[in-house]
Amino acid sequence: MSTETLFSPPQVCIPLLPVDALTGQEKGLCTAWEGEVLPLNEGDPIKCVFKHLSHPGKLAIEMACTLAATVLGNNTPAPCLVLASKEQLPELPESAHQPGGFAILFGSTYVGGNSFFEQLSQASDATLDNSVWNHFCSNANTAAKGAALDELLANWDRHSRNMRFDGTNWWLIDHDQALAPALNADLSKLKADFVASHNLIASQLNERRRNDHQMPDAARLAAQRQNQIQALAAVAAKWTHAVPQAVDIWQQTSSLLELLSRRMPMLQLMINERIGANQSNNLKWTSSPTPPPP
Amino acid sequence: MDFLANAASPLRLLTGAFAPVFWEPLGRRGERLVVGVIIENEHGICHATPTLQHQHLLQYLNKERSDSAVGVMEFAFDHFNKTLQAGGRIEDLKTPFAKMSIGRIEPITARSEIELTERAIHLCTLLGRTPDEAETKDAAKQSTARTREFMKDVRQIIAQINPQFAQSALKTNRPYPVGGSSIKLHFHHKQNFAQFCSLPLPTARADAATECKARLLELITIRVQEPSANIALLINTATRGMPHTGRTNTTELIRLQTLDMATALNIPAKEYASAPEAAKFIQDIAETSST
Repeated sequence: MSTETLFSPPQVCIPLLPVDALTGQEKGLCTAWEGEVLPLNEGDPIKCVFKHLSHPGKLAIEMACTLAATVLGNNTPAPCLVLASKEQLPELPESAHQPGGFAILFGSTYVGGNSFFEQLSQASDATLDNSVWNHFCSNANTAAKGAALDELLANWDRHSRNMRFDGTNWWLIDHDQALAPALNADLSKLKADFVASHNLIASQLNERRRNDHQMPDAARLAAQRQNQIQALAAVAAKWTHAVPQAVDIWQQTSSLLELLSRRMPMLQLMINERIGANQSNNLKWTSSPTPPPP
Repeated sequence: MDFLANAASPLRLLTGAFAPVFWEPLGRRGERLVVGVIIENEHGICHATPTLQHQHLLQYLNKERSDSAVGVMEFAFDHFNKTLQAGGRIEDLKTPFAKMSIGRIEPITARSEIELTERAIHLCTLLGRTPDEAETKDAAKQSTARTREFMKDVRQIIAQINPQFAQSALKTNRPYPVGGSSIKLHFHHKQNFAQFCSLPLPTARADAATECKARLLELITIRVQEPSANIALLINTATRGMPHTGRTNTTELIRLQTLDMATALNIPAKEYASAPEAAKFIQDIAETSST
């Protein structure tokens, strides 16, 4: 995503039927689809994976995390919002529908349009996990950026199925479990120093490349982009659209980006702590072991 | 002396098994490529090998898409082989990607390890004996019907030309008596992958979507009954009434692979654009076979 695109409002689209259901077909309910979507403003149809999120607040979390990931130089698909009616996606849960008669879903657009964007098999397979992590960590620079990102996002949910492969690079998707303390919270009062109990990329990278994982450098470089995150937060607060729900989501996105910018000065400390500390598998959330900077 | 009973004899048949690896690059539309084969030798040792040649991909896809496809396949086959080397069996193997699948395991015999591998690859990629699971999917039913309709036309023409075949030729999969043997026609369809191969989707999307629904590659294998072997191959490259997509698509890729394999196996191959052309070729093969 170019800087110009990044500072423009994400596309708001409608699905072009038919689309492929990716999950839950056998139960008649579905939470993710793949197909083409048509931007409401202008432009050609784009290939997209889109999903329903159980909590409306998670749309903004996904949006903020994806935009921040792009600012920090990670491979993350460009985000969009997808508006769909019950007629278009009959498998949607009833709870998904807004008063206006449509549901708002979070979309991840295909990388570049030309490359394939392969989803890993969903079956649990330790050998496959090992293959994926070996491949992902073979590029220490990219993997270290991912570890710094997940630390910033307090994302404990980076299992290998939350990545897609384009034949060369792994793309980070699915951030709806990130920034969990921010869900339903008053962001202006929320302390920014929370950490997730897991950072799977960090632990996998540390295990495979103990001597050259580059994570502190990646965290330091990411923290230097605080101004860009702040600028993006300011711009996102002014994004407008004819669909009022989209504007609401972008307002929340702006607040979340602001929260992320407040976390950035602590990022290198957090990563250092992560690499040195024993990771708890019992708790998903802990207090930060280090005090926030003044 | 029973040569076949002697394990050291070069005439002894080795037994093994194979399964094709399919990839649906653009979703669950029944539009699949055979991208490789997993082979088990008679000692139970397995390996996976890609069958889609990199040079073909590079030649017929645009560079970004071919690099992407090659990378996906390299990862998949590296994973397969690591799993198999760790003692995994074909039946336990899982594909790394959601849009890849492993077909039915089929037995195979050959006189050497090399021949076992070659036969497994040929059976998967050229002659289409591997059951096409896509035919059972709703999305593919229309294409199957189109292929059957075409074959019906071919049979009617053969029956008109040669009343001797009239009884059998009009019925599906009935053998045609030819001299002391008989020939049988098997037909398959391979749906087009125009979207997979076409140039950047945003610009080519509308056309590609139409072509993807419309086009298919019909493939007819002509097989003698005894000994069972394929003796000729027909490829329909002009599906009636449907637009051509040019040569930068996967139909072209499949067509080239098929022609390459036919050459390697010394099997006559013919590309036809109409039912009369196909009927004439089948007649010629039948006559050659009977002499």
